[in-house]
Amino acid sequence: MKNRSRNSYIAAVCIIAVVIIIAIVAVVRIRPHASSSLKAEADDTRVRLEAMADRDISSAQETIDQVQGPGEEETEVVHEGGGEIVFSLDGGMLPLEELREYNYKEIFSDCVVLGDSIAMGLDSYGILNSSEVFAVVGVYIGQVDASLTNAAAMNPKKAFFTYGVNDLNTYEYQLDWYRDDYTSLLKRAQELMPNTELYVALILPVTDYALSEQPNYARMDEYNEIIKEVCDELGVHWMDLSFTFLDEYYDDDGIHAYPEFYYGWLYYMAVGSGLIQEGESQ
Amino acid sequence: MRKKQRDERKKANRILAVFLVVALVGFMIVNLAVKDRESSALENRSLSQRPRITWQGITSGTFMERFETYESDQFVGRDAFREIYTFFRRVGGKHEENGVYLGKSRQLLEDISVPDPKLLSEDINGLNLYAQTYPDVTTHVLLVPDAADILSDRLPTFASVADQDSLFLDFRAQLDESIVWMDAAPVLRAHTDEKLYYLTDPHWTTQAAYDVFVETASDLGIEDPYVTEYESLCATYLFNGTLASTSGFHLGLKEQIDVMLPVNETAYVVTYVEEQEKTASLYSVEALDTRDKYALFFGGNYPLIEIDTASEDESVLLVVKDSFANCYLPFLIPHYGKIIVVDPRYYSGSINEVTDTYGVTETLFLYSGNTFFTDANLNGFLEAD
Repeated sequence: MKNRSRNSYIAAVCIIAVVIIIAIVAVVRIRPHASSSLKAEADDTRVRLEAMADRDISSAQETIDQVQGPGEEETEVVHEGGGEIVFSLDGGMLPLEELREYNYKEIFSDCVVLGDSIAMGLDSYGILNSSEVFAVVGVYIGQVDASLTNAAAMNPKKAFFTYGVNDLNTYEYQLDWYRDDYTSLLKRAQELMPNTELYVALILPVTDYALSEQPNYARMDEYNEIIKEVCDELGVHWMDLSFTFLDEYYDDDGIHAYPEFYYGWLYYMAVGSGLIQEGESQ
Repeated sequence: MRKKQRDERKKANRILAVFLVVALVGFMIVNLAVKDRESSALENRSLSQRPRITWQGITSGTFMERFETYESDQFVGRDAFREIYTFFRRVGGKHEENGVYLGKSRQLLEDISVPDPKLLSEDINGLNLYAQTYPDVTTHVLLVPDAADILSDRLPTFASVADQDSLFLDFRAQLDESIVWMDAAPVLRAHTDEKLYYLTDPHWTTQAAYDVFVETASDLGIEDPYVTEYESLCATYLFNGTLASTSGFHLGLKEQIDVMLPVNETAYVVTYVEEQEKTASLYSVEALDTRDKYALFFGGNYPLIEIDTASEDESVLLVVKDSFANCYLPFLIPHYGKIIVVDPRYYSGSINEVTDTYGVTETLFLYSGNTFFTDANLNGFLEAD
């Protein structure tokens, strides 16, 4: 009796053992051996694909431009060697309805706009594509190296610099530091984007209310003078777009803008840089 | 004699008791010692982490519940135990797990999804409205049948799935007559001698995408789809797809992903708009080092991609798609000046906005039957704002 129960006990253990062995065999299945020629082919393909990924986008872009032709919108750059871009506003600024007509995403498709929270509005209000706006909220010019590198990686035809308002609070009365930092910003940009036309927009004005809240803004003109001088020295274009910032476009803080502001700002940026001809209809 | 027997039994009992204690304590110690994993590449999901002890958690019981799922997720040897489990289910005659059939010839097949009638009719209205709003833009629809439809003979015996052909037929009949229907099913049925679907993944192969491209190119107005010659190259032979990981079947099976590279390439630049990146390649080699090797094509799915090409053709094609399009898109490059690719699962804008912004001249909706009929994001994209 006892013997039998022991036998059945051993039998049960054996069965469990067999089951475990089967399970282990199931897990450690013989891996299908890839033939060595297949491995060689995969390695070769990988090398080719890696080479494709490392290709320079500027040469591909050149080929595309050649085939697709220079396009009508590609107008001659008017201001060789930098300097001020002057707007002849004989008929006054275009009305908003007309400014809205333009397809700015298309117009700026090979360009980048760099800036702070004001430029950020271009992306968040959907006026430009994210790939055209390289903005970081609250930055001053000493902090923008990463934006510059990312923007340069897009191989843009034109780059617009719209920094400024935060600089006044950062540098305060240290105008020499500001001059040094602006010089290195533009030099770095020229170095990273040797084939890109650079444009600097002067710092946009703030309202009296903003001025009363933050006295640093009173140095606006001195700052803009420095920007002009640095641009002239380095052969970079600059433009004063303050006329596009109408009173009704100011947000409550007297610094930031309502969406309506951006159409005029971009339109004159595009006109000033030759992306569109003034008065040319869409 | 009796005493000896009793002693032996005692000894056996002792061994068993010791073994039991060792097993219990051993597993506990190993479980404590082995570091928790953040996610399981095999199951393609993140694993639950050790819950924090709070008074509230203990009194409400959520702590214990969380601890239980944490333990079962982080149990040492989880992957091996899962495989043993599916092995026994297979031996026991189970041929379906999480909506995946274990078919003949090692083929895994995803169950055919049946559309929610309300969602589908909204999609149809959206498509028709779009075609009517833009009469100058030719709208094309290319639904790719799934493996369980084309390879239905590989389904396990007695398994029955919905008839995808008739789902397509119903859908097609409700589309505006200006919409061009591109019929992939007959092309694929004529090529069942080739490997059309991965064994362990729901996607079609590059070869299948190429077959459908060349044989339906005339629907897209492409005159000579053979103008560019391609060479088919193995990019990896170590692919194990998501059907294997969701079902647990064939987790050890490795298969090949091919790319077809043009002999004379048309130059192009790919812009990942929201990621603010540009590249001169359609392939993301890094994906080959991950489990998700199908992401080799375009690095996976992105909200909005622009492809500028050096094609002589000036038309602008908008492709609204799921991941099935990723291995098909490369064949379009020589034939369009610009291709805009939108994945509505990730893109928040509307189709009218995209069409206007880019001056789209032709539109292609490319989905697999299963994703199209279960997708709940296309509708929002089609809605005019």
